[in-house]
Amino acid sequence: MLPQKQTCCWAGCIWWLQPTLRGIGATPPLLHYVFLLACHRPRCLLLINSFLTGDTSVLAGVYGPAEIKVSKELHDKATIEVILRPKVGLPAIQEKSQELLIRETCESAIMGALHPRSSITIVLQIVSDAGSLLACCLNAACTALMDAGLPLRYLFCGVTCVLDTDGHLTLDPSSKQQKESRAVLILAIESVENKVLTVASRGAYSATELQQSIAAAQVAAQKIFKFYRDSARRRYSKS
Amino acid sequence: MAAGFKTVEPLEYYRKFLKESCRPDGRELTQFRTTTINIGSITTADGSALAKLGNCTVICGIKAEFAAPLADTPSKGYIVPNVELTPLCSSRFRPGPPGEEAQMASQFIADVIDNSQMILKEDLCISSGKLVWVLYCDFICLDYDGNLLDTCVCALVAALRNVRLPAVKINEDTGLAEVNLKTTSPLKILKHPIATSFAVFDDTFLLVDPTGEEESLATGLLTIVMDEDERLCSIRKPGGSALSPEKLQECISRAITRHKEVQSLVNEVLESVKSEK
Amino acid sequence: MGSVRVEEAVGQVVLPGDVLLIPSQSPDAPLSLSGAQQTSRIKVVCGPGLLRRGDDLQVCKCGLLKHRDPAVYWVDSQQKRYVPVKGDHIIGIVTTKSGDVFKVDIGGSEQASLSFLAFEGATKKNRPNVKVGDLVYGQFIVANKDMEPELVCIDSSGKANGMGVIGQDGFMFKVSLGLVRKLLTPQNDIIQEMMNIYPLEIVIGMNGRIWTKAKTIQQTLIVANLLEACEYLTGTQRKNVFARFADNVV
Repeated sequence: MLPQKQTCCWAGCIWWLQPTLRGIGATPPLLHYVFLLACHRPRCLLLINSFLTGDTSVLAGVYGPAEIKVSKELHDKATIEVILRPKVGLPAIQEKSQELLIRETCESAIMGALHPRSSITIVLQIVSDAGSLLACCLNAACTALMDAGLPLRYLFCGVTCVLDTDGHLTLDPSSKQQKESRAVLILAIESVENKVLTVASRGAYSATELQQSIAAAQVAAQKIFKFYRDSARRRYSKS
Repeated sequence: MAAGFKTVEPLEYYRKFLKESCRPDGRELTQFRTTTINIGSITTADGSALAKLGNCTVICGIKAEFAAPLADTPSKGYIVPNVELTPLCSSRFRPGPPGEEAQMASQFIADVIDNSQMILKEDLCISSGKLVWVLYCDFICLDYDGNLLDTCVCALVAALRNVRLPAVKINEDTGLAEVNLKTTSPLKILKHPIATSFAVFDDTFLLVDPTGEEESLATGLLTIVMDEDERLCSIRKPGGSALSPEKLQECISRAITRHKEVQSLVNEVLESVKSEK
Repeated sequence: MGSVRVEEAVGQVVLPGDVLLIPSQSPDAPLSLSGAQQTSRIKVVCGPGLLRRGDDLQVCKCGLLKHRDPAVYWVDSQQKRYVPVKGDHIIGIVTTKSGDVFKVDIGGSEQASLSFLAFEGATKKNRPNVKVGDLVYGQFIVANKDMEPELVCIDSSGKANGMGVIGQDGFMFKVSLGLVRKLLTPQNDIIQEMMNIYPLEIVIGMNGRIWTKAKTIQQTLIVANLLEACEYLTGTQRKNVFARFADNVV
């Protein structure tokens, strides 16, 4: 029997269980599933990578370094583009600002100077949103970049923290928790020095609450980075 | 000689200054440029202000209009900020629809208004479910020289304090609104958020209030918005150099003092406007 | 992982941001005359995916760390996008013909140029017969991030040495760069095993393109599918699959 093309495509797909982040916050532990599959596509590097935190999932594809329009060309570094596609409809202003945030985070991680005059496109397709969407997008983007073999200074991960009216801190909230909260903080942490790469927030909070959130996010980030490493080990265990 | 050095090696030029803890324009690292606020500069608007940080100039005009409220929030008015970066203010902007930076700034101002709760949207309601005020806050940048967000937020706070809304009564018989332009009242402003921006240089130096040049050379940017209760209304740190929590705390402390400076400046200007009348 | 000694990390998965420490030379090494004022370290050659950071190495690509004596280290990653490297042999597709040069799609971020004189026996009068859409097997003589890559189809002595336009028939397909490197390692016997099943012609480009031709179209397709499958098969799995085909050679 001839091995079907399909089978070798899917041979690269792997399922993982991720230890939860919620253990650090107050909510009961919940397993996080992560689904990674590398897909065959001629002519372009493509990784389809879906990062599920709870029920939130995002598919990420990285294309690049690829050819670029002269109008967008930068002579000293790669042009990085992020396209965030909502589940339904066309991208609105909110998606645009999130795209900008993700792009700037990725830009600081990618060593763009090694691929001047080329484009790196990251496409993020929202599959389902059950809270912590932006953090999930950041995680998906980072793992996709990692798998694409692009030169990176460090890895990064996104962590969402919510503060409720009592000042109680919860990590990785569901959309209900996010709606009811007083403030939401989205932090991106880098892997080398564990410092804060990106901060975005909604609502008002005190400086102490910010510091607490950062501390919690840094602990959670270690778990995510460990998960990244385990995922990479699985991926490379075949060769 | 120095000018040539600056053109050829702008980064090296800056590093030489930063080593001595000062900047090419003579400021210290934690020093703001001269802040100027002019309130009520546009007479045709319901409220207006012009804010200047060094050369960076933004004029904010607020126009109040009637509108029907949204069905799910019948007693809430709205505030619509819009930042315009025209080719007039800098050669890096092209005519046409708003670019990415202008969109980002508009979104940022909208977030600041929402997060800080500076104005209760319920206060903008004239008649629940029928008529509310919409405040169109238009920001036009006249000269772009870095730190756009701080300048915009300054202009916003000053302009909102300048707004006077006429009294409106709904005529029971006709159902139409009657505007009494003689009796006007100011907006109820609960919080005064003030933004403080920093540029990170070579991952180590923190420069407050960066100029356009400093922004383009910096490795990271950070904007902190703080209200008078020392609560953070918004932090914008889009990538760039990673910062440790301690560094962030330093920035927050600077933002607290900056808030006091701007707050007293706005009050001073408002006083002088009143006394002129 | 943070920072580990480089020899411990060999064969392991490394992630961007990891720091690999290069041990200083063992004390029983012969002392150099230049004095003992500096801690002398082993001279290390760092390949793809590694950067120098002070005395140590920093990883910038995700993959397996490989090592070759005496001290050559590199990261082997499963990327699919090709980045031109000087000296690599690749399969390109001629896209345009403009004056004296051909533009060749090499699967990278930019098209490579190929002079019409860079073929065996080509002169100004005697132009090589290359058409748009042809596959060429060539070698990079210029490949760096700041310049347009340039291909040639001759070696330094002006001989084709296997390079040039690839014949009309056959089938070209794309695999990951990792698989190509695997196929081309001298100790790898996938191609040899394949030859035992079907007699075939094969051209492997470092840019992930493989061209192959067997006796019949059916055999060509089987070969292509088998090679693609090798990406995800372990050695023993592969042997089993190959054995099945060897038994019932068409």
